[in-house]
Amino acid sequence: MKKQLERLRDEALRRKVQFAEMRFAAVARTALVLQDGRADRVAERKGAGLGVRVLSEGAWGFASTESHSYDDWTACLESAISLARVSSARIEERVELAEVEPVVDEVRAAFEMDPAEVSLDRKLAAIRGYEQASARRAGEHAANLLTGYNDAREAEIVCNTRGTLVASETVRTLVWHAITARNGSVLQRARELRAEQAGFELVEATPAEDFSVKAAARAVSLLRADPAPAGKFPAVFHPSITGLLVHEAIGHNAEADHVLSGTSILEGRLGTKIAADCITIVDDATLPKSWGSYRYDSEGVAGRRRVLVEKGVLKQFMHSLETAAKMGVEPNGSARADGFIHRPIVRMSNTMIEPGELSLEELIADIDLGILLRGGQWGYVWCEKGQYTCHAGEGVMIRDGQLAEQVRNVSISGMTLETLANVLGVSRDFELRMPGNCGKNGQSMPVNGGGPYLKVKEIVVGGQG
Amino acid sequence: MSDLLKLAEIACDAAMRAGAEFADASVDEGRGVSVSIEKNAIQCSDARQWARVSVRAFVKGGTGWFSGSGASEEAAAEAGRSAAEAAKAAEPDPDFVDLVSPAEFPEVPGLHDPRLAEISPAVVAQWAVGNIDSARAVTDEAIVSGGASANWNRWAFANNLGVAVAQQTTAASVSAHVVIRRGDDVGSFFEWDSARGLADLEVEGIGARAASEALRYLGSRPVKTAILPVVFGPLASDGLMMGLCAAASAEEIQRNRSFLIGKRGERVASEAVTLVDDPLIPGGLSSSNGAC
Repeated sequence: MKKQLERLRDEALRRKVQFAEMRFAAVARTALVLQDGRADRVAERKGAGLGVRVLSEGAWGFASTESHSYDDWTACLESAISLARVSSARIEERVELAEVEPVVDEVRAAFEMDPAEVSLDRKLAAIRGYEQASARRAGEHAANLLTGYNDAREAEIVCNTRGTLVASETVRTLVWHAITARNGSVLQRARELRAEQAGFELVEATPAEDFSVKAAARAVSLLRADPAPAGKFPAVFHPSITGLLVHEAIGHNAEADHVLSGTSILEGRLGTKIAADCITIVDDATLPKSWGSYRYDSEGVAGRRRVLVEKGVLKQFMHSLETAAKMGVEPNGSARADGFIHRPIVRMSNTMIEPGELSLEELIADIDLGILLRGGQWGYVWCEKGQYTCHAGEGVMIRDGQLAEQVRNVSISGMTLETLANVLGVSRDFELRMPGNCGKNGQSMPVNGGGPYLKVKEIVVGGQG
Repeated sequence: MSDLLKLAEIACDAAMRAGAEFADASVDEGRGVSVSIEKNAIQCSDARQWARVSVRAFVKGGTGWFSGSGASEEAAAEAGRSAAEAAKAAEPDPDFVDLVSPAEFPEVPGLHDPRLAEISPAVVAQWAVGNIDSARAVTDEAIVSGGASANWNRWAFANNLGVAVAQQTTAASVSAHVVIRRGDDVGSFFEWDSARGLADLEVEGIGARAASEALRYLGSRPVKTAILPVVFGPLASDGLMMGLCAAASAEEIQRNRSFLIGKRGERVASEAVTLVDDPLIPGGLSSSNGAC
């Protein structure tokens, strides 16, 4: 495959384009779903193909094909070249790319137990164990139990006209459990997910007590919880909410393509204070096994640790070769593509707020009436306005410096920079446990998020109580 | 379309020969072009083509599913065999009854526009550029992102009971996301149009409307938390009703996940609310000759 890519790259060089990148990507996935005691769905998906991106006369063209024939690949190159001509109909300024040393490397997937070597029966037995433990914990309240196992083997080869030729392989394993608990007309759902760049050893190292049983306990206890009150409260965010906030509210705004397109609230703020002193935000692609990590991005640039905000000061953005050139900075390996059908765009990897020194007890000690939010479920950000909304599965009221009654269905909203400026403290407890897929421009990319507990002076809580 | 139907039948036959008791298969192929806009300029022009075979096989009700790229006889046969193997690994589902039997499938008009199928990337680029110009004609403060796209797709579906259905579709869309900044104030609006055919696509005016709305949002302020009467616009009410639609899925009800369990025939909303799901709307973006 590499030889064929190099042959196509040589053809692109003969066509004297400014830059061309050939990316071959392949994926094979297996998914099992166990529902109410029956593993009645087994799915496999395979796909592979080529994406060609061409920069010609300062404009981009991109074409992709699922064919493996070299003739179709040259047609794909031709298509990308002609599409670059189409793009040149309206460019504000000629696109240039930052200079980086070409890399030739091969990265093998790191795992202990190859999922392909583990029998389906063993995989099923593992998730059946999760389900049974959850059912025992939920007892008569268990209305529906869904447990899933997924593994994937992904390969990406990046070959460009600057001499880079990088082949990367990744193995991913993921287990999830979702429970619907019922008490009369009240339904509550809870979900747990574990996902790593690892083999079947992830499942072996995930006991039910720390996984499905936690979901069952949460769903059942939420049946008895009152809806959250509405209003403004001092708040403490669990690491899962911190992760959601840092990803949605700051991470997307720190993607340099958003900054350059005029849709980020961080435009023009590099070097300025945008958060409280206790806030340091990092996007780190180098963490072993983490869902959002990678050795090389889809432009063949090494992933790295990027300090976005240091002690409240905005330090840098995440960059592709193009955005780095536009801003006159060094590329930092943040261009990722979802398979061969998409071109690389600026993406996050593992995004987190760094831990501090305080304990959770110290964070809540001086709160007379407030709310602890946990179980981050989803978030939404109005990027250019700097406004966000997050939904937490559960909350715990804080009364007189102590955790009190549990509440359910809690949403929060606020202005990103206002919230970050109002952070009063961060805990030493830290979790990076929000593996998931982030959507942007129609592309879905594995990322992770997390951080410490975060104490915020005041936040708008949307509840029903 | 007989070529794709033949591939779907080959996939089903391969699944049955490999031990499936029931099987269905869908085969689709297509191509698309899109032009993306970033800060008042073309960011990139993309072309894509695809071909895919997906097969569901059933053994004692247990389901095996396989999806793979390529639309050849070999790919179809491999997909069928792989789905059957997966179905054998799945556990039986005693609730499984049957697949759908041959019937008259309604043909939904207006899903395919031959002019869109053959449209050139340069024309799609012109739609996108036109919306930059129309937005900036409203105000030169407009920062325009968005783009335009056109897709063509052929799809065929068959099962082992003799069902065979095929369709050809096209779709196009134009969008403009306009941001206007005045000091610390920001107004923004996303406007778009999508259609199955050129006659229904509003190519011009999207950018201008997005710019006008973005201007209107300048000076907007958050509302205080309160319980108030609310009027939902068409898109906002769609978001609200989607929750009800999801809960009305038969699987959600059969699996005890829906709050509508046991409520069939009961009033679940105001008399003013009638909620319809209709896949047969002529030219509808989610309309189809058959569900797979």
